[in-house]
Amino acid sequence: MLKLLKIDIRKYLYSKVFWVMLAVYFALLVLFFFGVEKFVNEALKNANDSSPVSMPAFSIYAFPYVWHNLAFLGGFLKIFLALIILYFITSEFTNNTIRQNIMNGMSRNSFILSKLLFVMVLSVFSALVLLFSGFVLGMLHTEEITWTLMMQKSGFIAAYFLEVFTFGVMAMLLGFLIRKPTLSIGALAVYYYIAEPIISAILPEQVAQYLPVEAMGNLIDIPNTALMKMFGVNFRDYVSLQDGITCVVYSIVFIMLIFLIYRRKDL
Amino acid sequence: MDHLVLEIHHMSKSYGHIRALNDFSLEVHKGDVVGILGPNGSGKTTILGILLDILKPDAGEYLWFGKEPVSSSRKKIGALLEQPLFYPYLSAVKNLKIVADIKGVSHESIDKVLETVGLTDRKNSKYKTYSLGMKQRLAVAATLIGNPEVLILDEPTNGLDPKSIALIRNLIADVARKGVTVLLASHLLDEVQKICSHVAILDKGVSLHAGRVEEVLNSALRVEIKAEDMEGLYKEASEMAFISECRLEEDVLVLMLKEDVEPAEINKSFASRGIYLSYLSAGKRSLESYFLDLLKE
Repeated sequence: MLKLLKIDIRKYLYSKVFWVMLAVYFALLVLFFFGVEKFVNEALKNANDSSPVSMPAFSIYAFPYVWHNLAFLGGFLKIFLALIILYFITSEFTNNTIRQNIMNGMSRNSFILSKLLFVMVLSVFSALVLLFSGFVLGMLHTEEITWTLMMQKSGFIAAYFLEVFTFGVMAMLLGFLIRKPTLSIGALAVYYYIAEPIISAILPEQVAQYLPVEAMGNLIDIPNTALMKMFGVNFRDYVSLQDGITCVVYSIVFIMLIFLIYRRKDL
Repeated sequence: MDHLVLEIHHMSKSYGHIRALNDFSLEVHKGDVVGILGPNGSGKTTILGILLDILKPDAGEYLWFGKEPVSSSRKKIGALLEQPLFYPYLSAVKNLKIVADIKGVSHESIDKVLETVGLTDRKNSKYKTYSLGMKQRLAVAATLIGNPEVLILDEPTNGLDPKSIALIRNLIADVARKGVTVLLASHLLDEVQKICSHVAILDKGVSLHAGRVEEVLNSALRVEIKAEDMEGLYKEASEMAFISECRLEEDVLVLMLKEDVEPAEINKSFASRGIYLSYLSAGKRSLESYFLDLLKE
Protein backbone atom coordinates (compact mmCIF):
# COMPACT_ATOMS: atom_id res chain seq x y z
CA MET A 1 0.00 0.00 0.00
CA LEU A 2 2.66 2.48 1.11
CA LYS A 3 4.88 1.35 -1.73
CA LEU A 4 2.11 2.02 -4.24
CA LEU A 5 1.55 5.44 -2.77
CA LYS A 6 5.26 6.19 -2.98
CA ILE A 7 5.35 5.20 -6.66
CA ASP A 8 2.28 7.30 -7.41
CA ILE A 9 3.73 10.32 -5.61
CA ARG A 10 6.79 10.06 -7.87
CA LYS A 11 4.44 10.45 -10.81
CA TYR A 12 2.78 13.65 -9.57
CA LEU A 13 5.46 15.34 -7.51
CA TYR A 14 7.18 16.92 -10.51
CA SER A 15 4.11 17.42 -12.64
CA LYS A 16 3.37 21.12 -13.06
CA VAL A 17 -0.11 20.35 -14.30
CA PHE A 18 -0.90 18.46 -11.11
CA TRP A 19 0.18 21.26 -8.79
CA VAL A 20 -1.54 23.95 -10.85
CA MET A 21 -4.80 22.01 -10.89
CA LEU A 22 -4.58 21.28 -7.19
CA ALA A 23 -3.80 24.92 -6.39
CA VAL A 24 -6.74 26.12 -8.46
CA TYR A 25 -9.04 23.67 -6.71
CA PHE A 26 -7.73 24.75 -3.32
CA ALA A 27 -8.15 28.42 -4.20
CA LEU A 28 -11.69 27.89 -5.44
CA LEU A 29 -12.66 26.00 -2.27
CA VAL A 30 -11.21 28.66 0.02
CA LEU A 31 -12.74 31.44 -2.02
CA PHE A 32 -16.12 29.73 -1.86
CA PHE A 33 -15.89 29.11 1.86
CA PHE A 34 -14.62 32.52 2.87
CA GLY A 35 -16.57 34.55 0.34
CA VAL A 36 -20.02 33.07 0.63
CA GLU A 37 -21.19 34.98 3.66
CA LYS A 38 -20.51 38.32 2.08
CA PHE A 39 -22.38 37.14 -0.99
CA VAL A 40 -25.37 35.84 0.96
CA ASN A 41 -25.63 38.92 3.13
CA GLU A 42 -25.38 41.15 0.09
CA ALA A 43 -28.22 39.24 -1.50
CA LEU A 44 -30.26 39.49 1.69
CA LYS A 45 -29.68 43.21 1.91
CA ASN A 46 -31.07 43.62 -1.56
CA ALA A 47 -34.00 41.43 -0.65
CA ASN A 48 -34.52 43.50 2.49
CA ASP A 49 -34.84 46.65 0.50
CA SER A 50 -37.75 45.29 -1.46
CA SER A 51 -39.35 43.33 1.32
CA PRO A 52 -41.69 44.59 4.00
CA VAL A 53 -40.37 42.04 6.47
CA SER A 54 -36.87 42.81 7.65
CA MET A 55 -34.31 40.05 7.65
CA PRO A 56 -31.36 40.32 9.97
CA ALA A 57 -27.86 39.85 8.67
CA PHE A 58 -26.64 36.59 10.13
CA SER A 59 -23.56 34.49 10.13
CA ILE A 60 -23.58 31.18 8.38
CA TYR A 61 -20.16 30.55 9.89
CA ALA A 62 -21.17 30.04 13.49
CA PHE A 63 -20.57 26.68 15.14
CA PRO A 64 -22.10 24.19 14.66
CA TYR A 65 -23.88 25.24 11.44
CA VAL A 66 -20.62 26.07 9.70
CA TRP A 67 -19.95 22.38 9.00
CA HIS A 68 -23.22 21.85 7.22
CA ASN A 69 -23.05 25.12 5.28
CA LEU A 70 -19.49 24.64 4.06
CA ALA A 71 -19.97 20.96 3.27
CA PHE A 72 -22.97 21.84 1.15
CA LEU A 73 -21.02 24.52 -0.69
CA GLY A 74 -17.90 22.44 -1.20
CA GLY A 75 -20.03 19.77 -2.87
CA PHE A 76 -20.46 22.03 -5.89
CA LEU A 77 -16.74 21.92 -6.57
CA LYS A 78 -16.38 18.15 -6.60
CA ILE A 79 -16.58 18.21 -10.39
CA PHE A 80 -13.24 20.02 -10.37
CA LEU A 81 -11.64 17.32 -8.27
CA ALA A 82 -13.04 14.73 -10.69
CA LEU A 83 -11.30 16.66 -13.46
CA ILE A 84 -7.92 16.18 -11.79
CA ILE A 85 -8.66 12.48 -11.30
CA LEU A 86 -9.72 11.98 -14.92
CA TYR A 87 -6.79 13.92 -16.30
CA PHE A 88 -4.23 11.81 -14.47
CA ILE A 89 -5.87 8.43 -14.92
CA THR A 90 -6.40 8.91 -18.65
CA SER A 91 -2.86 10.24 -19.08
CA GLU A 92 -1.58 6.82 -17.95
CA PHE A 93 -3.40 5.43 -20.98
CA THR A 94 -2.54 8.15 -23.50
CA ASN A 95 1.16 7.98 -22.54
CA ASN A 96 0.85 4.18 -22.36
CA THR A 97 2.65 4.34 -19.04
CA ILE A 98 0.14 1.86 -17.61
CA ARG A 99 1.80 -0.67 -19.95
CA GLN A 100 5.23 0.28 -18.67
CA ASN A 101 4.00 -0.12 -15.05
CA ILE A 102 2.48 -3.55 -15.71
CA MET A 103 5.45 -4.75 -17.77
CA ASN A 104 7.80 -3.85 -14.95
CA GLY A 105 5.94 -6.09 -12.59
CA MET A 106 3.09 -4.13 -11.09
CA SER A 107 -0.03 -6.25 -11.02
CA ARG A 108 -3.15 -4.93 -12.69
CA ASN A 109 -4.92 -4.89 -9.34
CA SER A 110 -2.10 -2.90 -7.75
CA PHE A 111 -2.33 -0.36 -10.53
CA ILE A 112 -6.05 0.09 -9.94
CA LEU A 113 -5.44 0.22 -6.21
CA SER A 114 -2.84 2.95 -6.69
CA LYS A 115 -5.41 5.06 -8.53
CA LEU A 116 -7.96 4.39 -5.80
CA LEU A 117 -5.41 5.66 -3.29
CA PHE A 118 -4.98 8.74 -5.46
CA VAL A 119 -8.74 9.40 -5.31
CA MET A 120 -8.69 8.76 -1.58
CA VAL A 121 -5.80 11.15 -0.94
CA LEU A 122 -7.46 13.91 -2.98
CA SER A 123 -10.75 13.40 -1.12
CA VAL A 124 -8.95 13.56 2.22
CA PHE A 125 -7.22 16.75 1.07
CA SER A 126 -10.58 18.28 0.16
CA ALA A 127 -12.10 17.27 3.49
CA LEU A 128 -9.11 18.75 5.32
CA VAL A 129 -9.58 22.08 3.55
CA LEU A 130 -13.18 21.99 4.74
CA LEU A 131 -12.09 21.11 8.27
CA PHE A 132 -9.56 23.94 8.54
CA SER A 133 -11.76 26.51 6.84
CA GLY A 134 -14.70 25.56 9.06
CA PHE A 135 -12.51 25.69 12.13
CA VAL A 136 -11.09 29.13 11.36
CA LEU A 137 -14.43 30.59 10.29
CA GLY A 138 -16.25 29.08 13.24
CA MET A 139 -13.69 30.46 15.67
CA LEU A 140 -14.07 33.93 14.22
CA HIS A 141 -17.86 33.97 14.08
CA THR A 142 -19.03 32.19 17.19
CA GLU A 143 -19.69 34.19 20.34
CA GLU A 144 -19.32 31.50 22.93
CA ILE A 145 -17.26 28.56 21.80
CA THR A 146 -17.62 25.28 23.61
CA TRP A 147 -16.20 21.92 22.62
CA THR A 148 -19.65 20.34 22.27
CA LEU A 149 -20.91 23.19 20.16
CA MET A 150 -17.92 22.82 17.89
CA MET A 151 -18.21 19.08 17.54
CA GLN A 152 -21.93 19.14 16.96
CA LYS A 153 -22.76 18.37 13.36
CA SER A 154 -19.12 17.68 12.53
CA GLY A 155 -20.47 14.48 10.98
CA PHE A 156 -20.99 16.64 7.92
CA ILE A 157 -17.23 16.52 7.34
CA ALA A 158 -17.40 12.74 7.04
CA ALA A 159 -20.46 13.04 4.80
CA TYR A 160 -18.57 15.54 2.66
CA PHE A 161 -15.63 13.17 2.35
CA LEU A 162 -17.98 10.38 1.30
CA GLU A 163 -19.66 12.60 -1.27
CA VAL A 164 -16.38 13.69 -2.86
CA PHE A 165 -14.87 10.21 -2.69
CA THR A 166 -17.88 8.51 -4.29
CA PHE A 167 -17.87 11.06 -7.06
CA GLY A 168 -14.11 10.59 -7.49
CA VAL A 169 -14.57 6.83 -7.79
CA MET A 170 -17.29 7.38 -10.39
CA ALA A 171 -14.87 9.59 -12.37
CA MET A 172 -12.22 6.90 -11.97
CA LEU A 173 -14.55 4.30 -13.47
CA LEU A 174 -15.21 6.56 -16.45
CA GLY A 175 -11.48 7.19 -16.86
CA PHE A 176 -10.70 3.47 -16.88
CA LEU A 177 -13.53 2.77 -19.31
CA ILE A 178 -13.02 5.60 -21.78
CA ARG A 179 -9.24 6.12 -21.39
CA LYS A 180 -9.26 9.40 -23.31
CA PRO A 181 -9.06 12.67 -21.36
CA THR A 182 -11.46 14.95 -23.25
CA LEU A 183 -13.96 12.22 -24.00
CA SER A 184 -14.13 11.02 -20.40
CA ILE A 185 -14.36 14.54 -18.97
CA GLY A 186 -17.13 15.25 -21.49
CA ALA A 187 -18.95 12.05 -20.56
CA LEU A 188 -18.80 12.90 -16.87
CA ALA A 189 -20.05 16.44 -17.45
CA VAL A 190 -22.88 15.25 -19.69
CA TYR A 191 -23.95 12.66 -17.16
CA TYR A 192 -23.63 15.02 -14.20
CA TYR A 193 -25.32 18.08 -15.70
CA ILE A 194 -27.67 16.62 -18.30
CA ALA A 195 -28.29 12.88 -18.35
CA GLU A 196 -28.96 12.23 -14.68
CA PRO A 197 -31.15 15.29 -14.09
CA ILE A 198 -33.33 14.14 -17.02
CA ILE A 199 -33.48 10.53 -15.87
CA SER A 200 -34.19 11.72 -12.36
CA ALA A 201 -37.06 13.87 -13.59
CA ILE A 202 -38.65 10.95 -15.43
CA LEU A 203 -38.30 8.40 -12.64
CA PRO A 204 -40.51 8.54 -9.57
CA GLU A 205 -38.89 10.23 -6.56
CA GLN A 206 -38.49 6.99 -4.54
CA VAL A 207 -36.38 5.52 -7.34
CA ALA A 208 -34.59 8.67 -8.47
CA GLN A 209 -33.11 9.24 -5.03
CA TYR A 210 -30.96 6.16 -5.60
CA LEU A 211 -29.30 7.50 -8.75
CA PRO A 212 -25.61 8.03 -8.01
CA VAL A 213 -25.28 11.81 -8.36
CA GLU A 214 -28.66 12.29 -6.69
CA ALA A 215 -27.61 10.09 -3.78
CA MET A 216 -24.33 11.96 -3.39
CA GLY A 217 -26.21 15.27 -3.39
CA ASN A 218 -28.77 13.99 -0.90
CA LEU A 219 -26.02 13.23 1.59
CA ILE A 220 -25.84 16.89 2.47
CA ASP A 221 -29.19 18.62 2.14
CA ILE A 222 -29.59 22.35 1.56
CA PRO A 223 -28.78 24.10 4.84
CA ASN A 224 -31.64 25.81 6.61
CA THR A 225 -31.29 29.51 6.82
CA ALA A 226 -33.44 32.08 8.44
CA LEU A 227 -34.64 32.84 4.95
CA MET A 228 -35.75 29.27 4.31
CA LYS A 229 -37.44 29.01 7.64
CA MET A 230 -39.32 32.18 6.95
CA PHE A 231 -40.75 30.59 3.87
CA GLY A 232 -41.65 27.59 5.90
CA VAL A 233 -39.25 25.27 4.09
CA ASN A 234 -37.41 22.95 6.37
CA PHE A 235 -34.49 20.95 5.03
CA ARG A 236 -32.86 18.03 6.71
CA ASP A 237 -30.09 19.22 8.98
CA TYR A 238 -28.58 15.81 9.58
CA VAL A 239 -27.01 13.11 7.44
CA SER A 240 -29.31 10.20 6.79
CA LEU A 241 -27.81 6.76 7.12
CA GLN A 242 -29.67 5.61 4.06
CA ASP A 243 -27.92 8.12 1.78
CA GLY A 244 -24.60 7.21 3.36
CA ILE A 245 -25.15 3.54 2.65
CA THR A 246 -26.22 4.27 -0.93
CA CYS A 247 -22.97 6.16 -1.54
CA VAL A 248 -20.83 3.46 0.04
CA VAL A 249 -22.57 0.82 -2.07
CA TYR A 250 -21.98 2.86 -5.23
CA SER A 251 -18.29 3.28 -4.37
CA ILE A 252 -17.89 -0.45 -3.84
CA VAL A 253 -19.77 -1.32 -7.04
CA PHE A 254 -17.76 1.14 -9.14
CA ILE A 255 -14.47 -0.15 -7.75
CA MET A 256 -15.45 -3.79 -8.23
CA LEU A 257 -16.47 -3.01 -11.80
CA ILE A 258 -13.03 -1.62 -12.59
CA PHE A 259 -11.32 -4.66 -11.06
CA LEU A 260 -13.62 -7.04 -12.94
CA ILE A 261 -13.30 -5.33 -16.32
CA TYR A 262 -9.52 -5.20 -16.07
CA ARG A 263 -9.17 -8.90 -15.37
CA ARG A 264 -9.72 -9.60 -19.05
CA LYS A 265 -9.15 -6.33 -20.85
CA ASP A 266 -6.18 -5.57 -23.10
CA LEU A 267 -4.18 -2.54 -22.06
CA MET B 1 21.04 -28.69 -16.89
CA ASP B 2 19.22 -26.18 -19.00
CA HIS B 3 15.84 -25.40 -17.62
CA LEU B 4 12.88 -23.81 -19.28
CA VAL B 5 12.51 -20.11 -18.78
CA LEU B 6 9.39 -19.78 -20.86
CA GLU B 7 6.79 -22.15 -22.25
CA ILE B 8 3.98 -21.07 -24.54
CA HIS B 9 1.27 -23.60 -25.26
CA HIS B 10 -1.26 -23.26 -28.07
CA MET B 11 -1.77 -19.55 -27.72
CA SER B 12 -4.38 -17.77 -29.83
CA LYS B 13 -5.56 -14.21 -29.91
CA SER B 14 -7.97 -12.29 -32.11
CA TYR B 15 -8.77 -8.62 -32.44
CA GLY B 16 -12.36 -8.63 -33.60
CA HIS B 17 -12.33 -10.90 -36.65
CA ILE B 18 -8.61 -10.51 -37.26
CA ARG B 19 -6.70 -13.51 -36.03
CA ALA B 20 -3.44 -12.10 -34.72
CA LEU B 21 -2.08 -15.32 -33.27
CA ASN B 22 -3.07 -18.86 -34.06
CA ASP B 23 -2.12 -21.85 -31.92
CA PHE B 24 1.38 -20.58 -31.22
CA SER B 25 3.72 -22.67 -29.10
CA LEU B 26 7.31 -22.05 -28.11
CA GLU B 27 9.86 -23.17 -25.55
CA VAL B 28 12.73 -21.02 -24.45
CA HIS B 29 15.63 -22.34 -22.40
CA LYS B 30 17.86 -20.38 -20.09
CA GLY B 31 20.49 -18.47 -22.02
CA ASP B 32 18.78 -18.74 -25.39
CA VAL B 33 18.72 -15.69 -27.58
CA VAL B 34 15.51 -16.15 -29.50
CA GLY B 35 14.70 -14.06 -32.53
CA ILE B 36 11.03 -13.79 -33.35
CA LEU B 37 10.90 -13.01 -37.03
CA GLY B 38 8.00 -11.99 -39.13
CA PRO B 39 6.69 -9.30 -41.41
CA ASN B 40 4.76 -6.34 -40.00
CA GLY B 41 1.49 -7.47 -38.46
CA SER B 42 2.54 -11.10 -38.15
CA GLY B 43 1.80 -11.27 -34.43
CA LYS B 44 5.23 -10.66 -32.90
CA THR B 45 4.14 -7.81 -30.64
CA THR B 46 0.95 -9.69 -29.76
CA ILE B 47 3.01 -12.59 -28.38
CA LEU B 48 5.24 -10.31 -26.35
CA GLY B 49 2.27 -8.28 -25.14
CA ILE B 50 0.59 -11.44 -23.85
CA LEU B 51 3.78 -12.59 -22.12
CA LEU B 52 3.86 -9.25 -20.29
CA ASP B 53 0.17 -9.27 -19.27
CA ILE B 54 -0.53 -6.24 -21.45
CA LEU B 55 -2.79 -8.36 -23.65
CA LYS B 56 -4.99 -11.28 -22.69
CA PRO B 57 -4.94 -14.39 -24.91
CA ASP B 58 -8.21 -15.94 -26.09
CA ALA B 59 -6.82 -19.42 -25.67
CA GLY B 60 -3.67 -21.17 -24.54
CA GLU B 61 -1.36 -20.59 -21.63
CA TYR B 62 2.17 -19.63 -20.86
CA LEU B 63 4.54 -20.30 -18.00
CA TRP B 64 7.38 -18.08 -16.84
CA PHE B 65 10.14 -19.91 -14.98
CA GLY B 66 7.95 -23.02 -14.88
CA LYS B 67 5.13 -21.33 -13.01
CA GLU B 68 1.82 -19.71 -13.74
CA PRO B 69 2.65 -16.11 -14.54
CA VAL B 70 2.24 -13.61 -11.69
CA SER B 71 3.23 -9.97 -11.49
CA SER B 72 6.36 -10.75 -9.51
CA SER B 73 7.70 -12.98 -12.29
CA ARG B 74 7.71 -9.88 -14.49
CA LYS B 75 10.06 -8.20 -12.04
CA LYS B 76 12.78 -10.55 -13.35
CA ILE B 77 12.07 -9.46 -16.93
CA GLY B 78 13.26 -6.30 -18.61
CA ALA B 79 10.97 -5.38 -21.48
CA LEU B 80 10.65 -2.91 -24.30
CA LEU B 81 7.40 -3.14 -26.18
CA GLU B 82 6.88 -1.44 -29.54
CA GLN B 83 7.54 2.14 -28.42
CA PRO B 84 9.08 3.66 -25.35
CA LEU B 85 6.49 4.47 -22.67
CA PHE B 86 7.48 7.09 -20.14
CA TYR B 87 6.08 10.05 -18.23
CA PRO B 88 6.78 12.96 -20.59
CA TYR B 89 7.19 15.60 -17.87
CA LEU B 90 9.72 13.57 -15.86
CA SER B 91 13.45 13.31 -16.49
CA ALA B 92 15.17 10.08 -17.47
CA VAL B 93 16.38 9.55 -13.91
CA LYS B 94 12.93 10.13 -12.39
CA ASN B 95 11.31 7.82 -14.90
CA LEU B 96 13.82 5.11 -14.11
CA LYS B 97 13.25 5.59 -10.39
CA ILE B 98 9.61 4.65 -10.96
CA VAL B 99 10.75 1.57 -12.89
CA ALA B 100 13.15 0.60 -10.10
CA ASP B 101 10.49 1.15 -7.42
CA ILE B 102 8.00 -1.07 -9.23
CA LYS B 103 10.63 -3.76 -9.62
CA GLY B 104 11.54 -3.34 -5.98
CA VAL B 105 15.25 -2.74 -6.63
CA SER B 106 17.54 0.04 -5.48
CA HIS B 107 18.19 3.18 -7.50
CA GLU B 108 21.91 2.45 -7.63
CA SER B 109 21.92 0.94 -11.10
CA ILE B 110 20.19 3.93 -12.72
CA ASP B 111 23.36 5.91 -13.44
CA LYS B 112 25.06 2.81 -14.77
CA VAL B 113 22.33 1.85 -17.22
CA LEU B 114 22.07 5.44 -18.45
CA GLU B 115 25.78 5.41 -19.09
CA THR B 116 25.49 2.10 -20.94
CA VAL B 117 23.11 3.64 -23.47
CA GLY B 118 25.00 6.95 -23.60
CA LEU B 119 22.40 9.17 -21.97
CA THR B 120 24.41 10.41 -19.00
CA ASP B 121 24.65 13.96 -20.37
CA ARG B 122 20.91 14.27 -20.71
CA LYS B 123 19.83 12.26 -17.69
CA ASN B 124 18.13 15.21 -16.01
CA SER B 125 16.31 16.48 -19.11
CA LYS B 126 12.62 15.89 -19.38
CA TYR B 127 11.65 12.87 -21.44
CA LYS B 128 9.52 14.94 -23.81
CA THR B 129 12.61 16.87 -24.92
CA TYR B 130 14.28 13.66 -26.13
CA SER B 131 14.72 12.74 -29.77
CA LEU B 132 13.21 9.48 -31.00
CA GLY B 133 16.55 7.71 -30.79
CA MET B 134 17.15 8.92 -27.24
CA LYS B 135 13.70 7.75 -26.19
CA GLN B 136 14.45 4.35 -27.65
CA ARG B 137 17.79 4.21 -25.84
CA LEU B 138 16.14 5.18 -22.55
CA ALA B 139 13.67 2.34 -23.09
CA VAL B 140 16.58 -0.05 -23.54
CA ALA B 141 18.18 1.36 -20.38
CA ALA B 142 14.94 0.72 -18.48
CA THR B 143 15.04 -2.95 -19.46
CA LEU B 144 18.41 -3.31 -17.76
CA ILE B 145 17.26 -2.02 -14.36
CA GLY B 146 17.59 -4.64 -11.64
CA ASN B 147 19.72 -7.10 -13.63
CA PRO B 148 16.85 -9.00 -15.28
CA GLU B 149 17.08 -12.73 -16.02
CA VAL B 150 15.16 -12.24 -19.24
CA LEU B 151 15.17 -9.41 -21.76
CA ILE B 152 12.23 -8.87 -24.07
CA LEU B 153 13.00 -6.47 -26.87
CA ASP B 154 10.47 -5.56 -29.53
CA GLU B 155 12.24 -3.91 -32.47
CA PRO B 156 14.87 -2.38 -30.18
CA THR B 157 16.80 -0.74 -33.02
CA ASN B 158 13.75 1.03 -34.44
CA GLY B 159 14.53 4.63 -35.28
CA LEU B 160 18.16 4.45 -34.22
CA ASP B 161 21.19 5.74 -36.09
CA PRO B 162 23.86 3.19 -37.15
CA LYS B 163 26.04 3.99 -34.14
CA SER B 164 23.19 3.37 -31.71
CA ILE B 165 22.19 0.21 -33.57
CA ALA B 166 25.71 -1.15 -33.11
CA LEU B 167 25.55 -0.13 -29.44
CA ILE B 168 22.27 -1.98 -28.85
CA ARG B 169 23.51 -5.08 -30.69
CA ASN B 170 26.71 -5.20 -28.67
CA LEU B 171 24.66 -4.74 -25.55
CA ILE B 172 22.42 -7.71 -26.40
CA ALA B 173 25.48 -9.83 -27.21
CA ASP B 174 26.96 -8.72 -23.87
CA VAL B 175 23.99 -9.66 -21.72
CA ALA B 176 23.57 -12.91 -23.65
CA ARG B 177 27.14 -13.84 -22.78
CA LYS B 178 26.26 -13.33 -19.13
CA GLY B 179 23.55 -15.97 -19.48
CA VAL B 180 20.57 -13.66 -19.78
CA THR B 181 17.79 -15.10 -21.88
CA VAL B 182 16.72 -12.77 -24.68
CA LEU B 183 13.56 -12.60 -26.77
CA LEU B 184 14.06 -10.31 -29.70
CA ALA B 185 11.26 -9.48 -32.08
CA SER B 186 12.43 -8.04 -35.33
CA HIS B 187 11.79 -7.82 -38.99
CA LEU B 188 15.44 -7.13 -39.63
CA LEU B 189 16.74 -10.52 -40.66
CA ASP B 190 20.43 -9.91 -40.56
CA GLU B 191 20.00 -8.53 -37.06
CA VAL B 192 18.55 -11.85 -35.94
CA GLN B 193 21.12 -13.82 -37.89
CA LYS B 194 23.90 -11.88 -36.19
CA ILE B 195 22.82 -12.12 -32.57
CA CYS B 196 20.35 -14.94 -32.08
CA SER B 197 20.92 -18.56 -31.20
CA HIS B 198 17.33 -19.53 -31.95
CA VAL B 199 14.68 -18.28 -34.26
CA ALA B 200 10.91 -18.53 -34.52
CA ILE B 201 9.38 -17.45 -37.79
CA LEU B 202 5.84 -16.15 -37.84
CA ASP B 203 3.41 -15.16 -40.50
CA LYS B 204 -0.18 -14.09 -40.00
CA GLY B 205 -0.09 -15.37 -36.45
CA VAL B 206 1.07 -18.86 -37.41
CA SER B 207 4.45 -20.27 -36.46
CA LEU B 208 6.22 -21.40 -39.63
CA HIS B 209 9.44 -22.58 -38.12
CA ALA B 210 11.17 -22.65 -34.79
CA GLY B 211 14.66 -23.90 -34.02
CA ARG B 212 18.30 -23.06 -33.79
CA VAL B 213 19.56 -20.46 -36.20
CA GLU B 214 22.25 -22.84 -37.55
CA GLU B 215 19.63 -25.49 -38.19
CA VAL B 216 17.62 -23.01 -40.14
CA LEU B 217 20.65 -21.91 -42.08
CA ASN B 218 21.85 -25.47 -42.60
CA SER B 219 18.50 -26.59 -43.78
CA ALA B 220 19.05 -23.88 -46.29
CA LEU B 221 22.08 -25.85 -47.51
CA ARG B 222 20.08 -27.43 -50.19
CA VAL B 223 21.61 -29.22 -53.13
CA GLU B 224 19.85 -30.58 -56.17
CA ILE B 225 21.45 -33.40 -58.13
CA LYS B 226 20.67 -35.63 -61.07
CA ALA B 227 22.23 -38.75 -62.51
CA GLU B 228 21.26 -41.36 -65.04
CA ASP B 229 20.42 -43.93 -62.37
CA MET B 230 18.22 -41.96 -60.00
CA GLU B 231 17.46 -44.95 -57.76
CA GLY B 232 21.10 -45.77 -57.29
CA LEU B 233 21.75 -42.12 -56.63
CA TYR B 234 19.09 -42.05 -53.96
CA LYS B 235 20.46 -45.21 -52.32
CA GLU B 236 24.00 -43.85 -52.17
CA ALA B 237 22.91 -40.43 -50.99
CA SER B 238 20.92 -41.81 -48.09
CA GLU B 239 24.08 -43.52 -46.82
CA MET B 240 26.29 -40.45 -46.85
CA ALA B 241 27.21 -38.99 -43.48
CA PHE B 242 27.01 -35.30 -44.37
CA ILE B 243 23.49 -35.57 -45.75
CA SER B 244 20.70 -35.20 -43.28
CA GLU B 245 17.84 -35.75 -45.62
CA CYS B 246 17.28 -36.62 -49.24
CA ARG B 247 14.11 -36.77 -51.22
CA LEU B 248 13.05 -37.05 -54.84
CA GLU B 249 11.33 -34.02 -56.20
CA GLU B 250 10.07 -34.52 -59.73
CA ASP B 251 13.19 -35.45 -61.67
CA VAL B 252 15.83 -34.18 -59.22
CA LEU B 253 17.12 -35.47 -55.94
CA VAL B 254 17.11 -32.82 -53.23
CA LEU B 255 19.76 -33.11 -50.53
CA MET B 256 19.75 -31.32 -47.20
CA LEU B 257 23.28 -31.03 -45.89
CA LYS B 258 24.22 -31.23 -42.24
CA GLU B 259 27.23 -29.01 -42.76
CA ASP B 260 28.68 -26.75 -45.33
CA VAL B 261 30.17 -29.04 -47.98
CA GLU B 262 31.65 -27.70 -51.18
CA PRO B 263 29.90 -28.83 -54.40
CA ALA B 264 33.21 -30.29 -55.62
CA GLU B 265 33.32 -32.48 -52.51
CA ILE B 266 29.81 -33.71 -53.16
CA ASN B 267 30.64 -34.51 -56.74
CA LYS B 268 33.78 -36.34 -55.64
CA SER B 269 31.90 -38.42 -53.05
CA PHE B 270 29.46 -39.70 -55.64
CA ALA B 271 32.18 -40.29 -58.21
CA SER B 272 34.10 -42.38 -55.74
CA ARG B 273 31.03 -44.59 -55.48
CA GLY B 274 30.79 -44.90 -59.23
CA ILE B 275 28.02 -42.44 -59.84
CA TYR B 276 28.60 -39.48 -62.13
CA LEU B 277 26.34 -36.52 -61.63
CA SER B 278 24.73 -35.02 -64.69
CA TYR B 279 23.45 -32.02 -62.79
CA LEU B 280 24.38 -30.30 -59.53
CA SER B 281 22.99 -27.09 -58.16
CA ALA B 282 23.98 -25.86 -54.74
CA GLY B 283 23.03 -22.69 -52.95
CA LYS B 284 23.75 -21.55 -49.46
CA ARG B 285 20.99 -19.24 -48.49
CA SER B 286 20.86 -16.51 -45.97
CA LEU B 287 18.19 -16.37 -43.34
CA GLU B 288 16.60 -13.77 -45.52
CA SER B 289 16.10 -16.00 -48.54
CA TYR B 290 14.97 -18.84 -46.28
CA PHE B 291 12.52 -16.53 -44.60
CA LEU B 292 11.14 -15.23 -47.87
CA ASP B 293 10.75 -18.80 -49.14
CA LEU B 294 8.88 -19.79 -46.01
CA LEU B 295 6.50 -16.89 -46.41
CA LYS B 296 5.81 -17.87 -49.99
CA GLU B 297 4.77 -21.39 -49.08
